[in-house]
Amino acid sequence: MTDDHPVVHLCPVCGKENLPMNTRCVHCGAEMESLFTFDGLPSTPLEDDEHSLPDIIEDIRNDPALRTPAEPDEEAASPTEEGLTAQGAGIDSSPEWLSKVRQRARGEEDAVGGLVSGINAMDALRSEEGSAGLEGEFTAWISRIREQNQQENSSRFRQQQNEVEEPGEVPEWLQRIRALRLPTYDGNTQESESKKTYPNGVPQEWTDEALMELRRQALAEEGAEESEELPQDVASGEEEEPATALGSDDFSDAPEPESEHSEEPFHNIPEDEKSAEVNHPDATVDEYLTASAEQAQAGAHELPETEEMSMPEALPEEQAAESQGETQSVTPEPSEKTADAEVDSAETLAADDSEAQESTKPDDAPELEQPRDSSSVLPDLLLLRDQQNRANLLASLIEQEGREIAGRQPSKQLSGKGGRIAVALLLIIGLVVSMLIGHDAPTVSLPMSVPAGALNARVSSLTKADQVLVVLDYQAAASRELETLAAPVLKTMRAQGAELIFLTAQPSGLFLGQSLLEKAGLSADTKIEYLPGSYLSLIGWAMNPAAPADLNPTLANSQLAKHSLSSFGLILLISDSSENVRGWLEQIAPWQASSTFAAVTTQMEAPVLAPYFDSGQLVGYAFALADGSPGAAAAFSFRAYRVGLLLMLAMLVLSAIAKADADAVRREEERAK
Amino acid sequence: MKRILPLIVGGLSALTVLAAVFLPGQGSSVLTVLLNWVIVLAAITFLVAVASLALTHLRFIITGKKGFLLSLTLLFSFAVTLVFGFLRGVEDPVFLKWIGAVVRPIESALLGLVALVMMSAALKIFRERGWSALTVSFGVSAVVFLVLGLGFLQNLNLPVLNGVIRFVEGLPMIGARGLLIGIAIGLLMMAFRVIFGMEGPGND
Repeated sequence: MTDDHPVVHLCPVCGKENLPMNTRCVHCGAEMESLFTFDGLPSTPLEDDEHSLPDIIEDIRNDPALRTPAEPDEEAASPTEEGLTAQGAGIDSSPEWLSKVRQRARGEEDAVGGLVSGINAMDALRSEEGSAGLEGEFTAWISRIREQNQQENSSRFRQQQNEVEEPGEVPEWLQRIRALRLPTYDGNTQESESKKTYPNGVPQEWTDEALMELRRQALAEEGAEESEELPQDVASGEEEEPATALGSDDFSDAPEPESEHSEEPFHNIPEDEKSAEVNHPDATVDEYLTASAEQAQAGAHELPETEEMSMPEALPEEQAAESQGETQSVTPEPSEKTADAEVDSAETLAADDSEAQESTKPDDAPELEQPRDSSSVLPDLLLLRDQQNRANLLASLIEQEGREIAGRQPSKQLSGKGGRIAVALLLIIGLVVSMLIGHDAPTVSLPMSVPAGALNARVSSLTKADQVLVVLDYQAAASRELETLAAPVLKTMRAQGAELIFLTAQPSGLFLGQSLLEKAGLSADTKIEYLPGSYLSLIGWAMNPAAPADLNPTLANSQLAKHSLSSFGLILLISDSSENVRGWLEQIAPWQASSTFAAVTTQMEAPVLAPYFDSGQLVGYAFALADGSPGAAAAFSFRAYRVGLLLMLAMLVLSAIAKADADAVRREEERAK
Repeated sequence: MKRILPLIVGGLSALTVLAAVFLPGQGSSVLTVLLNWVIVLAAITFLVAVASLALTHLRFIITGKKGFLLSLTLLFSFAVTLVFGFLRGVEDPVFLKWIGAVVRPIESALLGLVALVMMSAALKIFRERGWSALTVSFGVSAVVFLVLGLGFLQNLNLPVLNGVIRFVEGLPMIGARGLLIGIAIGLLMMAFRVIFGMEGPGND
């Protein structure tokens, strides 16, 4: 967090800013005296301090109460100075005593081992003699302070380097604050920013002066807002008055934690200081510690003046404000405040809350007590702003529900009914027109399929002695197609003189068979036998070699009375279901080795029967329009048939084109987005 | 017990039928008896179904449920057919002609609707299902067989083209054979499950 705020040194001659590591002023070339100043230490030349250090160490050495054996003493001093040497690699001007120590360390064969042994010896002496540990503690304290200050200086130097490289870049903390602003407050923000005297509208560093200025502005605005009437219309987007619990005392108290924060680098080793203060019996050391603490505090107070204190101390408050915002209830917030003032107040609120949380005094409760009126509840400036924006949006949506909104309306989804009606009309009109024009028999006789050719060959081989069982197993919907295909076959059988016996296992076959007989030119007196029990009866008939009259007394007067199933040389299945044909071939045919099976089926079911024809279980079957005789084909309106197929083809192609077009439009929209 | 008993009965029946099939001489009489039982049970269930249908629609009429006019039409048609059947017999030519005059146009119209639905599905298949291997292969095969169904290519009488057409027309047999093999394997597995009690009325 300290990286966000660089440190610059002012030139003592021209007063302009320079990087902390510059040895000369980049503007006037003057020598920079404040080289390598440490935070918390006075900005006066280091020589004074470092001149005092040998004196103090010399006093300690000369003190007989603190005198230690020479060898450990020397070795004890060396590790501390070695650490200082290693840590202060960037410091060019070393004091004389430090140079001596370094020379001695270099002269030793095993300097590191000596240092370690010295530390161990120092620890042993510290445990045995309290006075002997004072020097080690003192040097460790000094080294820690210097190490910490050097780290801060280096980090600030890196930060300043980054800013020098990117002068136009907005600081990260400012980007965060701007990201939290709402678009509706842009006008106010710009207005407030125009009033500021800082460059770019926002101070580069939050100095005490800048913070106090912002607090004064916030207090002035708050006082003005308290005198106004609170707006109540939430849906209109206007926001309500700020919290009144945030009094001026809160703002006046706010700087205190910041000043405490500024002293943090000098109190982060409280054990050392406390132990030093308690355990140092020597008045010289006490004086030095007291003087160092005073100098450190003075340096800390001087830091803001040198623009070294800025947002690093404020960012923790911002985080505290965020955490506070997550736990607070949704409250309205002022609309007149500027964003910077809001950030400031948020920081102050966070600081106050942190103080309030730390203190357990009941006296603090009235100050932090939330007002019962929702309009005066403390606003959260980080998360609640977004929450209230969403609430306003939801309220406006609810208010506008059911109203017609000017502008582009969402296109209504077309239901599928229109498309279906269009397709139906197209199909009906096409078929009707094609049929009204007249029948169009195929001008060229289409080639007969191989199964139909096999069926024709088998039928042509029938003789007068052959008995053919014609099984009617279809529904009325397929009767037109099947009757057209079966009628020529039956005519051929009749011409061959074969005995035809008609059988149906479905009640519908009784009235459908009449139409078939009529088309086949058979006598209307030809009886169609009905066998109740569907295929179960047929299976039982097939398994039992006896005549069906023996099995079913109701068939005593039928044509089937004297015939067993095995007595038929050919069983012709006229069926619109491949399942039924499969049932015959798989359940009944195995019991009838002497019978052959043929079928007349619809074009839709024909592919399923192909394997049975290929295996020889079917001697043949007719299924296509061309498989009938030319006379049967003439019964079809071939033009209507073709129109239907063309319409179906057009629909498929249109579907593909529409899909491709929709994909292209979608891709174009995605590309545009 | 409620679950085990049907499983035992089903398994034993399956084993009995299986044994009768493999022993035609002695098993045919057993099979005939079993088939007669099944036929009687099927007839009873058919009667129960007819009675349930009539009672259900009668309840719709009594309660005045929406669409009760259709229920009224159904019961009226059922009663007329039943009365005619009892009076004239199921093989009376006049009765059959009247029945055929009603049933045939209705079922033909339903089949025409199937054609309409197929066309609508053809129009929406790519829009609804997008481009995939299934839809593309379906579309291509449908276009190919629709073009072949028109008969234009066959009328060209080109020997090479006729050979190609015969090859293409034989392709559906491949799918049908695979379909039949799959059905047979499925039936076999179901039979084993029934025989070994893994499948029964209580198992869904």
